[in-house]
Amino acid sequence: MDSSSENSSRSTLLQNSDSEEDLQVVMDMRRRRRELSNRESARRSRMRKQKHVDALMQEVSRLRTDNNRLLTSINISNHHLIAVQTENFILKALIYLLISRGKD
Amino acid sequence: MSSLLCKNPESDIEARYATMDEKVRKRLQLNRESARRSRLKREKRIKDLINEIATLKEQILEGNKRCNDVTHKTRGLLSENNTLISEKKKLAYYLSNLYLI
Repeated sequence: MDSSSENSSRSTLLQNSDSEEDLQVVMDMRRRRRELSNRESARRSRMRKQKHVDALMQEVSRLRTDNNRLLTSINISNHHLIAVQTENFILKALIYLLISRGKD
Repeated sequence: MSSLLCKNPESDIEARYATMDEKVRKRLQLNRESARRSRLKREKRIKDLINEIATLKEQILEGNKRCNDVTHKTRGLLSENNTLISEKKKLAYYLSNLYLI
């Protein structure tokens, strides 16, 4: 059968068949459309969820870096503090010596 | 078997179950359990990330406090040191003068 006679036989089929079968075709189409819509909705939902997880992982990574930098900075500051405390102690000791020498 | 225009989806599903092989039923059950385990694993992963974020934020707050504390102490000691240095110089000068006498 060539295409034009195929098309005309198909349209005759629709015109001549039971209204129940027509309804079935329409319901099939609606079901298929709904299923497609649900699939796409599910896919968007999955993508949104994945983005959420990605954002959490980025946040963790950022905070870890910040924390490490902070700990390094505290370490350096602590060393400096110890150096100043040592100098402080030595100065006090020297002053004590000088005062006691002055009393002789 | 329900009509083609069946509006009750549940009797469809029940009908499918009735005609199922024991093997198929078993496989579906295993799939359900596997899906459940995957879901739980995923949810746990998300919870762990959220907890880690909270912990890290606390540690950073704590770290900032310590950093400020150390800086503050250092500043105080540095100014005290300046005082001590000038006092030492004064005493040393005074002593050297004493020795000249």
